[in-house]
Amino acid sequence: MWTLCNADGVEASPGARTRGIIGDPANPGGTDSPASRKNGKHVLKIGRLTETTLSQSFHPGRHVRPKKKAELEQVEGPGAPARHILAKDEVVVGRSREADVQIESEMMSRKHMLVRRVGPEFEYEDLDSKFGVYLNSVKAFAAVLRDGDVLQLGKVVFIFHEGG
Amino acid sequence: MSTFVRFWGTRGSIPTPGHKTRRYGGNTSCVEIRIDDSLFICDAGTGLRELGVHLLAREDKHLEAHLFFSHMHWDHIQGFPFFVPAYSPEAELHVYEAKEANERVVRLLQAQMSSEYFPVSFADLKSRIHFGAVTSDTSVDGVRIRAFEQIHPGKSFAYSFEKNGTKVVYATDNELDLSAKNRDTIATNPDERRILPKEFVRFCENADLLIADGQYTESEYLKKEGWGHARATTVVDLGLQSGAKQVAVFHHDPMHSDQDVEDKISICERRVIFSGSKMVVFGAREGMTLKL
Ligand SMILES: [Zn+2]
Ligand SMILES: [Zn+2]
Repeated sequence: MWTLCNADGVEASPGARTRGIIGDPANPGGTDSPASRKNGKHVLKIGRLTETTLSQSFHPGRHVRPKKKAELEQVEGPGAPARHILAKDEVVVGRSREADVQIESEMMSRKHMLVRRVGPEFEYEDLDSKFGVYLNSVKAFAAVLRDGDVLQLGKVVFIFHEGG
Repeated sequence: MSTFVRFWGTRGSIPTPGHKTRRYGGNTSCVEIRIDDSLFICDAGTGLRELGVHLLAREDKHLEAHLFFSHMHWDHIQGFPFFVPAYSPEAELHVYEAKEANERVVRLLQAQMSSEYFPVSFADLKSRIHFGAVTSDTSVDGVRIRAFEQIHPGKSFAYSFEKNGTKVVYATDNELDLSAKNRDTIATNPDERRILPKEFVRFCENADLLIADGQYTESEYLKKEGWGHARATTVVDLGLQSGAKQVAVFHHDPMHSDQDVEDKISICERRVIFSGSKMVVFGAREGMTLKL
């Protein structure tokens, strides 16, 4: 049977806050194995179970590494191979000089597709282009993009990478 | 004239959130069909909640929507109590069922909001809600709407929406396989074309988009015959026989990961290629919009 205990080996009382870190944050890489046996029970040390330790030292979401930006990897068409980082909240792909990703290619409309950031995700929308946008070979007007999706705009093909 | 179809929930039976289902989505049945300025919603699975949020963000003050229920199993109604427009006095909702459903929709939408299940009662919803039945001459804003009874425990109904030659069919929770005329020979040869009943083929005829329950693979179906859902490959045959331009395989099994759905669709694609047709078949995917 497993039981939770604090760094001093004192068993967590029922109802005590049990969310913690394995091992003692004050002794990183300490010699104590986080899991040991005590009175025949497996004991998992999870650090001091106080509100202060947790709130001062660790906060979910604060310690994530900087993320790689989402991008459109161009694998076919003029200029390929190329990587187009989606640095702005709205990125227009097309033949126009005003497009953020400008690609001179037949079957590409002047403003062909908009890629928009919505919270942590990206969506695309066909800007009423002449030849449409194909998502994984299906002509689709718009979609929420997922890692590895293949977008085809005429003879130009992109792979969407979520980043992160 | 413009027709847009967006999938808000494509999963069958129960929501399946998580990384394994990110591409096709975890919300249960809900499809938005927008024909010119009219808004039709097929089923109120959990996908309806997010559609409601979008509608409030993008619509003018007055929102009018027409909701159609295939049937009243959980995965087709659970989003309704979380559909924010239902709480807005500015919204007008027309709720439909097939005439043969005998007011089951009214009764069960109210029942799922009784106090034992949900804190707000149906009577407290502020929107104007009208109930109606789809008959043989139903038409809304010039869109002809028809219903067809399907094979499913407790019955379910397919709906077709048609205007100026553009047609969308929504046919989920339908064990099409049980209606095949050549069931005996299919059992020994799954590659054989399934001959489906003429009436239903005619109902689906020439759809620009056929959205149909294709929950199972061949081997899964063998273990789940009688559960009320079809093999994806049988949906392909329905599309081929009815002359559909595109088929969206819908109501994905809750056990299916994105990869499983993709494998199921690959088999469907091969079946189409083998038939010599150019019909498009794909897995219905949450957050995807088609323009017809
Ligand atoms: Zn269902
Ligand atoms: Zn059902």
